[in-house]
Amino acid sequence: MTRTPFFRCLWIHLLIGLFVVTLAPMSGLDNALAERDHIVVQTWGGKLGEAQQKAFFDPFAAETGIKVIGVEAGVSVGGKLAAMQRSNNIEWDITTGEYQSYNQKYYDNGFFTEIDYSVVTDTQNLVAGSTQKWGVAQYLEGVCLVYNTKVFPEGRQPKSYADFFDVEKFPGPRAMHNWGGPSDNLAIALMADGVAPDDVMPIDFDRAFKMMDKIKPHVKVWYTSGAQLVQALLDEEVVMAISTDGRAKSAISMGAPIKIVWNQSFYYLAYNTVVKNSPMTAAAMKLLNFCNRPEQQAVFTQVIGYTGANKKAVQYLPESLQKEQSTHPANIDRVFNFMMIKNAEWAVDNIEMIDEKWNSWIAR
Amino acid sequence: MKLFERESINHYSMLQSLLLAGPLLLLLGIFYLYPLLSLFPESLMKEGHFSWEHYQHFFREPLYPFILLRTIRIAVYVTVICFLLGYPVAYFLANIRRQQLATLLMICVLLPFFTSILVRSYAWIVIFQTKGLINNLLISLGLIENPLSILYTETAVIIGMVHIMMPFMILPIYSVLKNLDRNLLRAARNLGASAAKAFIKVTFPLSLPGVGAGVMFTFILSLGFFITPALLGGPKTLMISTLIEQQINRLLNWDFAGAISVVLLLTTIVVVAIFDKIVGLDKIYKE
Amino acid sequence: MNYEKNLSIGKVLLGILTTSIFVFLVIPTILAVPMSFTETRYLAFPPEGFSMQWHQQFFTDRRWIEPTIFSLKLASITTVVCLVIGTMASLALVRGVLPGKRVLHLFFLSPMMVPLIVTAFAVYGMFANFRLIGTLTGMVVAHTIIGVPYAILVITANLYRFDTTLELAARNLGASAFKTFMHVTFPLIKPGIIAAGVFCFIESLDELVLVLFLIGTTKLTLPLRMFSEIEFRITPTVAAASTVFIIAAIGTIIALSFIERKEKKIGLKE
Repeated sequence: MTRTPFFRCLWIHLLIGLFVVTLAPMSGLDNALAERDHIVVQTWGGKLGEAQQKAFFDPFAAETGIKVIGVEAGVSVGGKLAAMQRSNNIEWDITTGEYQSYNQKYYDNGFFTEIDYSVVTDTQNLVAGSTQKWGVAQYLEGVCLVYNTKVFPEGRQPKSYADFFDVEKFPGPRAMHNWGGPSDNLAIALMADGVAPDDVMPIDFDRAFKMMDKIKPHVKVWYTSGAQLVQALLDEEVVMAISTDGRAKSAISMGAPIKIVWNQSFYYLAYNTVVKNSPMTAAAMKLLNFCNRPEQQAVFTQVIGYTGANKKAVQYLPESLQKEQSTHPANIDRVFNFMMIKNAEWAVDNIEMIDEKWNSWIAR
Repeated sequence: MKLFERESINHYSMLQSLLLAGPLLLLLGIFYLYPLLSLFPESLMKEGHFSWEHYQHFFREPLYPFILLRTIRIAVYVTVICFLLGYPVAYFLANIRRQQLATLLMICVLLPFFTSILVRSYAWIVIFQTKGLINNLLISLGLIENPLSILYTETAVIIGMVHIMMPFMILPIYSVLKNLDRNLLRAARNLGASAAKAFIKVTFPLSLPGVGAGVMFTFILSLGFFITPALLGGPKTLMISTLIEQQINRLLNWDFAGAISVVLLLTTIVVVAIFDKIVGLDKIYKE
Repeated sequence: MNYEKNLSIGKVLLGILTTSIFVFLVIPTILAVPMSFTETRYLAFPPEGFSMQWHQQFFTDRRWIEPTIFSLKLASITTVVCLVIGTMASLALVRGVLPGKRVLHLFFLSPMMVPLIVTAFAVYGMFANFRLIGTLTGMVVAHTIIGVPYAILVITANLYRFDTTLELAARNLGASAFKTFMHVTFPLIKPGIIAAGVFCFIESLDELVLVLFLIGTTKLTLPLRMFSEIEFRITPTVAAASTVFIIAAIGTIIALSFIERKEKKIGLKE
């Protein structure tokens, strides 16, 4: 080896070192199949996950001694749930933050256990529609119109979805979502055409797409993530948008010159569910009941901005925040639950057909 | 028995070949092939019995073949552009004498690689947006009046993807060019060939394996791409991978998703085979 | 001479073209650096104000450090395994005798062609059976499966255009097959191996889909962390993370080039 240069020796040493390093971590096995003594909750990560940890998981652990860990997994939830059931390797005990249409589908495919309402008892103050066979609502996610206050000053402001679709009176680029579940976009189109919310379902596709065709060339941003929407609002890339209230408030707090229109605003409920065959089912039900507590929901709201499903939670918030909540007495009659309009189940039952029609329309 | 024979001292007998390829065969066999073989047959079933339904659905509904063709088209554009731009870069890199310059330029090629894809895509948003770099530059130079709408178009997606795929085209070609025997080139020049002719008749054909690798990389990876098209493009750049992802995650149709994947896989193989035939790569592989 | 003049014009054009391409390659990356120093809580260009807080957060927040270290470990080990297995398989493909070689070649490359989400979904059960979910070993296996195609594609290209006379000479002089490989073949295909190594490393570092399915509940990788961060807002911390990697990459490349220069001095390269 006298002629072998330093470099070649270095390679061999590196190789050996790396293999040693490989063996070392073998001891840190995270075996999901083993009996576990803590609850695993799937969250959507980021600030939302933080809010849940602070408002629910940590206090629950303090009270009951059962540890709760949140797992950041907001992508591929359906695929992962399916994979878990297929191989009977249940990594999660609870899922959070998903809407009714998806959860219903997941439940029909055998991913969730029915909620034990003998354990989850504190449901009397929850907003209508919160208690489902497969889940309990934890917070509201509102859908509303937002507009740029610099482009539309006092007196010339859009006030309804009809205004959103009126490109002559309110010109400029718009943003709408394209992140799946397009039935609300189509519903908004119909509402803009004068259809009452209760008459929107089943969707009259011809009428809805006729409205959408009017506006398609003006929709600059078809956002697929909340962050994309927020960035577009901040960069003033669009003058109007159909947004969620959480993202709108987030953009406002970061300085975006926008205002929320409460008229015709509706909301979705975001549910907690229990995964089928979870080894911690009993404890999970207790946690779900814990999440109903108004004081805790107020903590949640203060971190992330979303309104809690418990109507009493508003009372625990500081004055300044109260007026912004959909469950505030002043607002609660103006907004409606999207899934409670007449024939809302039609949207859930026909989710594939609606998706396909939407994709075909939007991809051209 | 054929097992122990070898073509020459440089080649390996079948036994040796099996031993060499063994680990990979084992790994892929257990953790990849077997699981996939348990999944793909589901694409041929509907409600428990054999059915072509999913494949029929794919071809019956115009959306899917349309998206597949669009995905292929964009992948081809990206591949061609990467090749036209990347080959000169690889050639340049392989022929530089000065070490420092070579290192610096290599850094330039690898730099985008080391930036996370998410950050790179957002950087392009910053460049393309209405009040972004390009528009600001063009407006301040007085070249245009109104800002160009580049973002959320197919152009933006192609530029973004080219940027990401360039290292995949450049590096394989570079690695083959670097090892070329200079003597062959010198011989051609000494025999009277012009620089251009020497390149066309000698250098380029010798670099074909690298070109083949680069093209394969770029094309195949482009077909499967969905992050950049999602961030930089609009729904007009819906790619087949996004559709597959929707089917698995939102609609829970892994059987249909499997069918789409099989169609995609077969299409990829066919396109690659045609490309090999046209360029003559299959003659090289026969060696 | 006539062709000398053409040569210099050609060279100038080539230089201009390649320079503009280099600029094109570098600009978006370079944008990430100033963006990471912005004072605002979102990505802004030009950056507003100057603040080290995002870099600070990246280096001090456990929730960023742990995934980064895990990702680096994962990527390094994956790269080594990919290169070893990939080189062996490439040798067999180019120089060996195998039944159904063309099909086998395609099979080895197929993980690149099957959409990652489908692969992830399909292999989940097998990984669960072997108790590999949530382990470093499991992730290495997964990333090796999709990394080896990269290695094979590059290394076979290098092997096809290989001047075998040097090898034959070494063997005829009595060197064993292994020694010939280590001292003759390997150094000559090194550009290919390094390129393959870079691809494998980056592919593992950036990979998101397989990780989502197989990472289990207690660990995170860097791209996963970035992705959940980005779900809610695009914070400059992501840009800070990128900046750190850029600097590390530049450092590594420069270091490698120094080592190569040392090798040249010792006289091993021509």
